[in-house]
Amino acid sequence: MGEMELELKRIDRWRWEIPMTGRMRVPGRVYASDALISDIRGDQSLRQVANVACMPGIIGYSFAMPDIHFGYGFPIGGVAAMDTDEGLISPGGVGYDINCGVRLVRTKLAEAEFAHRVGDMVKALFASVPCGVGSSGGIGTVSHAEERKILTKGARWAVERGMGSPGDLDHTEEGGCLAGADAAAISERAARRGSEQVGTLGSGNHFLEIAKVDEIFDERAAMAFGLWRGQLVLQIHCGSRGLGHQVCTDYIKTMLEAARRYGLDLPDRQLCAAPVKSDEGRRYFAAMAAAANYAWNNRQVIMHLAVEALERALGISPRELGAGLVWDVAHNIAKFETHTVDGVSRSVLIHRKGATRAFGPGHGGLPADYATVGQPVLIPGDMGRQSFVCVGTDAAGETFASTCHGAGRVMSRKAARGSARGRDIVKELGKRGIHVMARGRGTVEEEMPDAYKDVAEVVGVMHEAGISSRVARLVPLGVVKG
Amino acid sequence: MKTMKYEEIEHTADLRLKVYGRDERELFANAAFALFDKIVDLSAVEARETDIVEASGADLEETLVGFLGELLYRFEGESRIYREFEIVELVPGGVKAVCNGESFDEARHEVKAEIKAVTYHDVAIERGPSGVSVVITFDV
Repeated sequence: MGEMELELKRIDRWRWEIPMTGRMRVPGRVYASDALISDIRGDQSLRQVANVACMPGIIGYSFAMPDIHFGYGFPIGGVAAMDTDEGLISPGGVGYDINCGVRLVRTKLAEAEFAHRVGDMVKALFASVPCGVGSSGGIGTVSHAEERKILTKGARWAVERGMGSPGDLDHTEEGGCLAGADAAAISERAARRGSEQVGTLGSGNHFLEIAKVDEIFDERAAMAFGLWRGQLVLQIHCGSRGLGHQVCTDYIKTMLEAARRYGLDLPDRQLCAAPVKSDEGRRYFAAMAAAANYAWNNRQVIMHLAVEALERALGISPRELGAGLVWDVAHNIAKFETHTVDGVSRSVLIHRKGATRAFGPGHGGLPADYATVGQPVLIPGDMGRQSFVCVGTDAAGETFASTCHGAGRVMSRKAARGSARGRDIVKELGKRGIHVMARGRGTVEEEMPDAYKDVAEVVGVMHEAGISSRVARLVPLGVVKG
Repeated sequence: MKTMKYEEIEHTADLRLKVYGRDERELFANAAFALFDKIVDLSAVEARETDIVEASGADLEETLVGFLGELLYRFEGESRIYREFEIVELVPGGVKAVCNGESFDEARHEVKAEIKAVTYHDVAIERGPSGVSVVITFDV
């Protein structure tokens, strides 16, 4: 209100720029199609892109992915790389659900043979992975000492206890463990919330999904990822649960004070931050990394519980199920990465809030089996339509190797509940052959397919822009929601 | 005039509530009520136990967000739910409230939504002729 309309300049068919005005230190760069840009103009997310561009130490552009929407502080779908000497680190640039992410598990099962068992599989998953608001008890309460190990080791903690195999770590971003984590940087409250929630899914947009690989766009990459047409796969979407929420809450308070102390003039309180190398900045990074490790371990434990549940439900052996981790991505995280900026290789602190890392072929951070094809990029859609597996490209350096993370909502939760009135969404999806089980009825209504943009449009923009290209399409057959 | 305590306003990704009060104290009490009213079905919650909840902040807005964050922790970390609130002390730097409710009981209480956090996004207490209001954004 009363704010100047931001100029949006078209660069090419898929790229838009917000030119520098006022206190912006870099331009904004938005990836969108004609259809998506009209949605994006409809909320205040472009203003948020411009606000992020005002932060000291930001490098290149304040980026917005095509699934951008209005968040708090940073937009969701925002990417900002910071100079490690002069730049800032901001809990608002990561979000409350630290290392919310997606994991894709392949199986040896063909849909043609197991389609009639999907209902049983969904029931087994629902019974084995605790879900819903405040869900606890995935593997019981872990002791304080064990929790500290989880915070520093990440997914390795679960693997060392027989939940998964060492190979799973090779197929997890950062090997399932972000370096620099310090359990002592986590508050007593955060630790307390975390101790009961290892191996739990939570609520909201988090889910477990049995899907079918419906189409292959890139045979070579699909083969490297172990994906084939007609195959059943499992998607897991969740994060660091109450522990991560508490870490963000705690450190936003710290950063509000820090921002004042360092004399940072920020356009929104929720952008509060501190210099990367300040004491507050270092402590936040150590706590955020610990929460990220908790999340990777959480998805590792959930995968283990889910795989066992499927074996039991189908009465088949581990060998017959043939579960294997394709990849695990983080889409709410800040980390140090090396990128080429103006022809020079340098370390930057990159914030991805609702954005996915997308390393192209030949990148040093990839496991041997993906080295020549690139990093798998997992982009889940809504529970009624489709999800995509993509792969990072050589051109991804343009966005500090970042791409979209999901469909993005078009309807508020309130509007979705209104639209669901008098309807039975579970039944509607059932008629379309999608088995849904949920802890709360409200969740299904708020998360119904119509509440989201079609993820194909979002994925298409990044494919056409050359940042991440399509490998396979997944269609949902069974969904567990919190 | 009997006014509403709060209303939900449109926000695509998160939960936004506009909270009203005749004065700042009532605003704080109504905001606390709104938080729990979104999380659980309060009709089944009895106001039979009392806790004192305190919070602080650099100004009234930060105190409000801190207060709601403290209450959210009481629910998430200590399984406490409240339905009645009396603000006994309120200065720009701090609040003290008497909160009445009970412990969460899965058998009797229905959880409606998960609220991950209370944000500071654009939070500004507005004063008008008939009272005060504030818009609060919750991460859900």
